[in-house]
Amino acid sequence: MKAHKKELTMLAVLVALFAITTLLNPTFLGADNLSNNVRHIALISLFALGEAIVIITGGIDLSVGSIICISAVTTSYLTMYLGVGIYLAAALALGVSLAIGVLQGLVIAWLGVQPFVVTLGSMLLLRGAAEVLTGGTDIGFQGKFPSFRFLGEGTGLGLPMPFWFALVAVVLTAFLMHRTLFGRYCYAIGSNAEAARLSGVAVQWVRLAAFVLSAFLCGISGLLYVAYLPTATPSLGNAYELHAVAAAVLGGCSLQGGRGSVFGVVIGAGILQITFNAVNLVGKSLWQNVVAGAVILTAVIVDRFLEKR
Amino acid sequence: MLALSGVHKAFGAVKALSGVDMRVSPGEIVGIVGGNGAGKSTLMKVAAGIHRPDRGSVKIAGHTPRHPAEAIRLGVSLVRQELTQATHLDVSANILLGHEPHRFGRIDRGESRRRAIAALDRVGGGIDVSTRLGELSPGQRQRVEIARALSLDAKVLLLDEPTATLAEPDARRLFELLAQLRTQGLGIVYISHRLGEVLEITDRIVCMRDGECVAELVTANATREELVSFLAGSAQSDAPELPAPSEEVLLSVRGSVNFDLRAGEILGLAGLVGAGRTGVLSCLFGARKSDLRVRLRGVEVPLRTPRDALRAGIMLVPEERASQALFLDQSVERNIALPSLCRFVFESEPEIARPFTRRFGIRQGALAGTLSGGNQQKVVLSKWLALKPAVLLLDEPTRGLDAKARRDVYDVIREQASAGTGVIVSSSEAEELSSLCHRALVLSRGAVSGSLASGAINDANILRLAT
Repeated sequence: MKAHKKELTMLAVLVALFAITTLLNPTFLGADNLSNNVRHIALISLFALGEAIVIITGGIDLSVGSIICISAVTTSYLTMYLGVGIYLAAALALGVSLAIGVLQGLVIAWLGVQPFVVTLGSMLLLRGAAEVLTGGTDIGFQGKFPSFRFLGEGTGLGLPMPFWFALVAVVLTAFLMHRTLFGRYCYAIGSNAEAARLSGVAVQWVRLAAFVLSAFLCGISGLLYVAYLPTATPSLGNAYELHAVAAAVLGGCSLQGGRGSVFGVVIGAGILQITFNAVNLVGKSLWQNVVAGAVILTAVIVDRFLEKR
Repeated sequence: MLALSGVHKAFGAVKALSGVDMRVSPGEIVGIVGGNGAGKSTLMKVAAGIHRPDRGSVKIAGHTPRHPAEAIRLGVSLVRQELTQATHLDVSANILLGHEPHRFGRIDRGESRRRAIAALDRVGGGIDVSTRLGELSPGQRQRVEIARALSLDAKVLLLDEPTATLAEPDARRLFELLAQLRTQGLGIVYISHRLGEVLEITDRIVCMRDGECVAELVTANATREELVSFLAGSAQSDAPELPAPSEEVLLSVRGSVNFDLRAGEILGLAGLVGAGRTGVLSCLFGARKSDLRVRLRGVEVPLRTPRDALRAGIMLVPEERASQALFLDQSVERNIALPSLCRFVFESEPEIARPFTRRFGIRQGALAGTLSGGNQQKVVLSKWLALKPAVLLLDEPTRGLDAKARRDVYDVIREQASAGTGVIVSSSEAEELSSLCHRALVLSRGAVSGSLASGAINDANILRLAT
């Protein structure tokens, strides 16, 4: 399978990381630690999937972290300050996320403003809105809503609940991207938008849908984060858009568009999370970003060499 | 001056060149002709130091260039095609890009201007050095490129399909310029599919096929038939008689251009570059907004987007294959099947594509970007044939194609017309239109300025109506 060579390379990197981390600190294999890793890989995968869809269409979404934050903050604000029921609040938070996605998509697809600029603007705007809304402080659930918190903290069949959400999202997204017209059109637009338009693809609608899907998955992630933590802070999701881009690129997406797979994004999320965990386990948590950056660079450089050969 | 001997070059499993020899002396124009995939462009890139040969040697004045910058310094310049120019920068910046006169990194603007003007004078002048390159015509842009090469002290110019995007008067001007540069002692390598041009302006002709030189002729003794036989490796068949179109009006167009297209008719669009041929086709395909009122079999068709046109069965093979019609990093099957997909879940791409890949002998599963120009065009055609077009619009359908691929494209067009499809072909080659079309419309400034019957389509008549 030549098409999946990149993903297989990255899978090998993931396995190697797994082995190295185990050697460095055997507690890596402890049940709690593994379960924690699964939870975080699931959460990263969730929002990185949306980023990957956008990247495959040739765009980029920098608003990921801020939408996650807005979704979480909206939920706790509505419940704790306005007394709205938790599930209604969660639904409203999802609605807000979707609306943000629709607005971004409209500006990008119909007005033709570059995705980088539009999502950079909303990244700042939404982060700021979260700070204003919370007054700069945390809004915790204070022990309320156990059934909602279960979705973030709890386990089902021995696996963290976010894993099951991510599994559903991965399966649906894989189906969408690899088995439907919409998916084909995403790849076509990323590969050559003008040729896609002249082949009868409704380019603007597909672009819009990509940003809406990304915002929706961020909204879900935000809910799971607030359920897990269980508190919403205005700094929640800081730099997650970059984690999402990193996971997508590690997983074989090209920032030029037209390339990448859902399977690869999950591997990318795995590489990212295990790197973070490894650095913590060695007791050098300040080095987390240094090592993560180095792993990303090494992985893509190695891949480049393999590709050239 | 430039000598290549025994050059071999392979890309992966594909042998692009196998043992090619070529010499260029000062003051001569060497023509290179050959089909797509014959290795002409690769040969030029090897000569310009862009590709290193696997075996064999490249010598420029006795030295072997290791990279493009060194080849340029030694005096060999590849005249780039317009796509690689910096269209946002002005003319002088383009001429001097990479060798700007400067002091400690600060560009000397007065000196830049002087050098740019001097270089432009050598190619005939008439271009303001402070114009943005994107505002110039293709012919002017090409002269800027040649001026750039001259300002780099080129001794040998390599031109790859220089007239592909030029209208007749611009091409004439280029030929005069090349003849003039020859008398100044430059060596010139001229690649073209247009055999007439090669016979007209070169001193020597090298024929290539499948990465080898199959013949080398002195132009004065060569004939067109001879060249064609070397290139195709077989004799050319005569064009078959076209059946007359039916009486039924298939497509009627009213507005800034007015004409009727009959079922089974092949209608040519002639005119100079910029006359609006591409514009008319884009409007008929809904890719560009227009005031045209279009009726298909008497029913008004709204044409706001290409989707509207496709729904009605109107399909366009656009001018620029790579940028407008193909997904170069996707497989042939995906390229062909994309507009035909309608099922929610599909395993059907190979099935949709197979009749066409089989018919045209295109390797299954290949990425579109790895195909020759001819096969790429067949992929674009297949994409629409799979949808059974009612009206097929073709914009310069054989640009950059070799003789064999051209014949295949003509066969497809004739076959479609015989089956009752209406076909509109835009071309800058009168010969192509006269051999292919029932009649041709001549466009001038976006409007129809005349109509020519098949027998009357020639350069003189087109020029008379177009100006």
